Amino acid sequence: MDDPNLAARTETSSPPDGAKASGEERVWPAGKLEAMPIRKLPDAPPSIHLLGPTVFLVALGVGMGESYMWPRLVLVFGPDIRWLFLIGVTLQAVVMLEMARYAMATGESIFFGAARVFKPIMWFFFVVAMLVYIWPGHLSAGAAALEKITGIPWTVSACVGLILVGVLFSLAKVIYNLLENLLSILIGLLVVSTAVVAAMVGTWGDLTSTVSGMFQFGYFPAQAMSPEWFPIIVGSIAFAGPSGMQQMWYTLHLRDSGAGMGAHIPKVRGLRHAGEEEKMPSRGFMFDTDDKAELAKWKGWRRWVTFDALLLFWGITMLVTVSFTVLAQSASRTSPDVKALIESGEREAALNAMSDAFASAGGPVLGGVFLGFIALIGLNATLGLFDSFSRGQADMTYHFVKGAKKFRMSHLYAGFLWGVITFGILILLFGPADGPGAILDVLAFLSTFAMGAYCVVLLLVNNRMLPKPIRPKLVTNIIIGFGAVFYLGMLFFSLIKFGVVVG
Amino acid sequence: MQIREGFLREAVPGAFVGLAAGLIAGGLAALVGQPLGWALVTTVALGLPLGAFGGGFSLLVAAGRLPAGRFAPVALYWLVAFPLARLIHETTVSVVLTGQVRLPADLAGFLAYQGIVSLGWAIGFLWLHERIAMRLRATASR
Repeated sequence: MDDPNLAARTETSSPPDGAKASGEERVWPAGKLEAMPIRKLPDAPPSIHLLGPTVFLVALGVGMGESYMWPRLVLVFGPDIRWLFLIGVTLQAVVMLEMARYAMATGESIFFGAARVFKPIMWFFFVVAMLVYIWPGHLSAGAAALEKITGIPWTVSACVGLILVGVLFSLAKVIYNLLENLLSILIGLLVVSTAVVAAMVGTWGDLTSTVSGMFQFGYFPAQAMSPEWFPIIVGSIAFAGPSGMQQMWYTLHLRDSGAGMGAHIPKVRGLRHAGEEEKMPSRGFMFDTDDKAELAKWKGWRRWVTFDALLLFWGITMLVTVSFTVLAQSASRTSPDVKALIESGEREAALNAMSDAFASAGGPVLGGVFLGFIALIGLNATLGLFDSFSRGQADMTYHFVKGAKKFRMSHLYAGFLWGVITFGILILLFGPADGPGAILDVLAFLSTFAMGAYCVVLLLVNNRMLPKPIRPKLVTNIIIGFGAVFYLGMLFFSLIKFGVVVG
Repeated sequence: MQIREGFLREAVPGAFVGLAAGLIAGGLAALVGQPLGWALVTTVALGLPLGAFGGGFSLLVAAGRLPAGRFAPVALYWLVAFPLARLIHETTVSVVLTGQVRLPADLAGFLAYQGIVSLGWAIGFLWLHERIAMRLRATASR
């Protein structure tokens, strides 16, 4: 053991499941919580063949930011503003790789890692998730688009959708497998259809201006530095790719997909099959980082997740947003009204106007296609969000709430899932979907603050809780550190200079 | 006969993705009230070329001419095939609707644009292709 932290020690209590009966087991002591036993790292899959957890990040990440907020900024400020999007998404790709580092090395979620550093940090994220993600407002855009196509009132389709999601996840044998299959098909269709529609509507000129705008580093028109627009730009950067806590939930999906040491952790099952769930260990595992063969396997896993981050996550996010920007430019040419509506910030009116503009540009088919995309994006986000929220809260509750281990993880998952669904239906029927008006600013603040906070957590967790050979390099640390300053700096600048949180 | 069946089965994932893309375009056209004829032309004129090229890709992978699961070969393949499929689509639609063969006004610009978009298409194609191929292999081995 070169690393002094990686110690062999004698377990005085009963050995963790799977430990040898000899009573002596090598462990990796990380922080003040229970040490991680050393286990074998599974072999890494070849490149794309384990099409896996990135699908969740794409499903959650490709949303209003890509389909509405950035096209809107391009129409207002021109394509050159898109360099900020490039920075936002590239930063998120690096964050994704660093989230994966901890999850694949330990089989633990980033929440568990945060608790290893300082438990109140984890409780902060628990509370933020409860405050921010319990409101069903994210359903409204997709359901409203569906209403426009089918005529079904959006509250009806949203309530029916919520119950269907609950039933589907409760009946599933292994929730991860069901959702990965479902989302893979939906995202695949979204990507393929977006490409086909962009191919039919866009022009070479739209594309070159959109793409070249991504490299106009430093472009920031005076109008953008106003109380009206600056918070919106901050919000749009935070919404470039996954926002809020979505990256943190990705660690749970990685674990359930069996990536890296996640292979040693049982999968969360649907309520109907909860009895079949194996006992969840009370902590993760570490592999022997002094063994060259194990390190070679680790490099394989890093290659695999890098491929996911660059091609699937970065590539698809870019494709969707470039396509939607091309579509918005094409729409504003055909119908000048759409530009005014998009600028005005009335999201639903703007989405409908964009749909109408597509219809007049390329026949009714394009108007329908556009609304179909918005509905599909909404469905993906809803499926991903409900699962992720329940998964994250169940994980923290199971490990850190006294007495929670009397239940299975699947029971806790189902409890949070049905809790958020019931609350969502009640709010859709009787309350404000986005949350009470008085706390909207607080929720927007917390969502962006969480992004800066998880960058700090990543720096602490990956540099202090992992063995030296697998810690991040200096460049990576600098990028993540830049992320923390970027998100928190812009958030507080907007708050102090303009007195407004993100828009 | 068995060899032929096996050969055709190998082409299924790629052909399916291509045909599905045409079907989506046509299906949505019908859904939003386009004449059935227009929807059919879109389905056939776009779905068939994409399906044929997609099936061809699957066969090349099955024959070992292209490596499975790598992005670069898929992207290069579609860089040529996707603009061609779109050209066939455009000309077929013009023939059916106007009775004349009309190429896009700026042919080079059209092909270049389609070539760039093909990268996005290639990601989606590979994504779905791998998933369907995996499912078919699992079914066959049962």
